[in-house]
Amino acid sequence: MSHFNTEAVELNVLRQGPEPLQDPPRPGALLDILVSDALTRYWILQRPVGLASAAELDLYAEDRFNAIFGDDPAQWVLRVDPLPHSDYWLACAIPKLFAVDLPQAATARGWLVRRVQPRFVRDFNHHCAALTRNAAFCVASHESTTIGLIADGNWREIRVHPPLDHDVTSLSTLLQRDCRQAGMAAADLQSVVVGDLREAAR
Amino acid sequence: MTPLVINFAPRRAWPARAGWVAGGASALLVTVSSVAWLLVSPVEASHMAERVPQPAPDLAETQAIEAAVRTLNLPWLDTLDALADTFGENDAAVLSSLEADVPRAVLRLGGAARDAGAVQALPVILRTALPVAEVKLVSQELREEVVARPAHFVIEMRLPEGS
Repeated sequence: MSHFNTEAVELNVLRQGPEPLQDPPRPGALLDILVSDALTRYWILQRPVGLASAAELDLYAEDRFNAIFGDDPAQWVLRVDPLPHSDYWLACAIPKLFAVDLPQAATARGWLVRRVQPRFVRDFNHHCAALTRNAAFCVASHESTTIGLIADGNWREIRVHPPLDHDVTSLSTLLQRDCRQAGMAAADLQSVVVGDLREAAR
Repeated sequence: MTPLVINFAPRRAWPARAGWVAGGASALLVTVSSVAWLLVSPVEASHMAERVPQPAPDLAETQAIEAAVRTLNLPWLDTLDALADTFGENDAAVLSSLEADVPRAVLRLGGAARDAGAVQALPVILRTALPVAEVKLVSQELREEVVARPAHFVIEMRLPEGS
């Protein structure tokens, strides 16, 4: 038996709520919580000038979150990926219920919570090595269609749309719309689509 | 593109077992470092250690060392000893200077004798007493003011090759 077992059980948090939390197969078993993009807020932060501390970054992200979505940041947990050499940072937020309460409940039952990530973040990290500096990364799932646009290595736009099987609109139309909003040309981008409905996106 | 560093999972404390492993590894590292330092440090600090007095060489060793040094500095030691004996027994002449021309294997003797006859006899005496290739009287001069040995001379002795 290996003492460095990295196999984790995945718990999906869907639009209608999280899957039932089971007992771990053994105490300390790893658990990855995957939060649907339909429950996640994404936005792009422009690098602020004169940022002095992580606390200031948190305040800045909360301010932008409130301005864009109109929600109270106190009920959400926010995260920013502050790439040092980039002018635009990807930020996201998930409800505190899934970022704090659910991991605490899992820990109390004997799980070791390794990751709590939105689906787009998890899938992007799986495929980012294959992406060029100008790309459109799309996650087409039964819950949502998330499109992230990257220009010259910087995040430019990210939007969560309805799932393709519920919408008459095609992925190419959504992509054209998001690119127009960001001032980009869809034809110049490497388009990568992943997820359960990637076939429907063709 | 680089992966996104976004994870909402709470930071977890190190498990107890990992803490023990890390502590044990640290203790082992400290022990190994200490032992290595203890083994190496006396050598590194030897220049700071108190010097142990070396025993003085005995008489035989001293004479051997001096003889070796004299041989190195003066290759014709036997010749010089023989010269000293020759002039020591000869009351008619004394040696006042001695110059060595090592590349030419020549000794240049300066001295004073009782009279001109004693000077003339010196080459024969030297040729008899010493293993020389050639003895040549270079100059002779009478100095009236020196009453005891007025005849001053310069003699060149060329030693045989390989001596």
